Amino acid sequence: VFIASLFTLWMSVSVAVPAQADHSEAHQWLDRMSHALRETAYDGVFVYEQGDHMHSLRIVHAVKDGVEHERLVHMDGEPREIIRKGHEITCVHPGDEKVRLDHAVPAGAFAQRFFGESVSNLKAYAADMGKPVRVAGHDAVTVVLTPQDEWRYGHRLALEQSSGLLLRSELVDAAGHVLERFQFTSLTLGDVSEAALQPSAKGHAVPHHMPAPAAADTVPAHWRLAWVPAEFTMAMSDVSRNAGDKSGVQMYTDGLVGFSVFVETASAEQPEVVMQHGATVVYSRTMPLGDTGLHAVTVVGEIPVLAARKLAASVQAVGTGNVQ
Amino acid sequence: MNPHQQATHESLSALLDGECNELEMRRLLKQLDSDPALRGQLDTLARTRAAMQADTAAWAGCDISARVREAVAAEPFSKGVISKLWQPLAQTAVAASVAVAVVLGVAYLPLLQDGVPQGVPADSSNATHYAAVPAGSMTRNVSTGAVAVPVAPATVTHTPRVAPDNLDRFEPYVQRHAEYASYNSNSGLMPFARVASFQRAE
Repeated sequence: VFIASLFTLWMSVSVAVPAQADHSEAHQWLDRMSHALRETAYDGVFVYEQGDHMHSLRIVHAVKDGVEHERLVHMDGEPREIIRKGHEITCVHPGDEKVRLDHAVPAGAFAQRFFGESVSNLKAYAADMGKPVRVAGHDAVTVVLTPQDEWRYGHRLALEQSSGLLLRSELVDAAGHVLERFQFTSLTLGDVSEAALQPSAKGHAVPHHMPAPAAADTVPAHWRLAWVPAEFTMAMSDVSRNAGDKSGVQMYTDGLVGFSVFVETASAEQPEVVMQHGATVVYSRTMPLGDTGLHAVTVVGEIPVLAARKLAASVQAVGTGNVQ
Repeated sequence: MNPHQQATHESLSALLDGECNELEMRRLLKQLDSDPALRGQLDTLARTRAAMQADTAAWAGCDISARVREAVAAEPFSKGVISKLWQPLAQTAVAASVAVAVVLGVAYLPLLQDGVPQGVPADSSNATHYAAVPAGSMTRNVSTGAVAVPVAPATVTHTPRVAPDNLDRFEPYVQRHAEYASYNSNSGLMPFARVASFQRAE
């Protein structure tokens, strides 16, 4: 009964054309989606729903002189905005709240790969067409991405018929429950004015710059993941430049979602912590790492908790004996 | 949790710990036979505990109470058998003092490997489960167990009112992950919406 109901849930959104045509058509749409996300000009309001929380945000996106401009405005609560120009991010907060960003170094070719790569060749998911829907006043096709293993969630995507722009995205667990949902409620496609990309909120602006990939500058981490789910590739790796500080982070993505693993020296055992909000899981534990002592390992990502847990457990010391 | 629910919870907890007396165990098993909601509650409690232990085990969608009954049938009134069901259990249980105690019903250890019931009660896939959480916390079940893909049912618990500092402790990690994800995935600024939601969960 369980298998049957599960199967029905997955299949219920993917009943359309014959399977073979379905796959290739779905991949074509995914290709269009990845281009549309980066290349389309749009201005809209979407709601973001996680668990029983929902809030709305305005997003403005345009490409000016080959550079992506994006502005995300929180429509609920205190005014906050995030402005992105290419690799540069500015957060605008009321007051003088600080948002940190240290020297995150993209892992060279990997990062470039995900900047430029289309999502049409996602090997970790089976892609199928679903039923046409209407979202935010726009006709849309549906693409269903079914995970091929238990280490990631499924996706249901509604893409605008003419541009392929993502209108609705749902992360779905194996039982068919929606863990989080993005959905446009209003959307204008086409020209976006310069003014719409400028911050409207007054407050403290915190600029962040993503440095260019610099492989030679990358300090090798003193730890590694012995296990990573299939098709997840390292997109970013960073270690602390502070002498004696053994903290570091690695970020992996399968092209759609990602997880970050933070490893830091710990002075004392901490209780295991597992938090999940919508699709985002935070898993943290302390563990000894080779002869470098006790470390806190924290995994954050849009992955099932089992995956986060297994990832944390797989952290190993590299070059044990050489690192103090 | 009202006093009655608390008492029930403690009884189920004792059952799993093998700390029930004989009479109480019989009473509970009888009640479990006729009460799907109670079975669901036991099921969730068991999974919650196992979630804190299991590394790779697959959630098999089994009826926990059936396992308990089987264990008891195999070795009536053996406190030891019941205890074995959930060994090892306790050392990483989420303490009530942990501010953000979010317990996820995950895969549990493939306990009682022999004779695991294959059938799943029809109501189990739709049952609403509530996990054991510290008093004053909010629990929301967003899914139930899975069979084909052992993905976790997610029971979400936040207790920021108890000690908000602990929630804060993990915010920077979520924030940083969002930054990385924004740069390295195809979701643009969407990850920041996740952060906002995380921050506002309280």
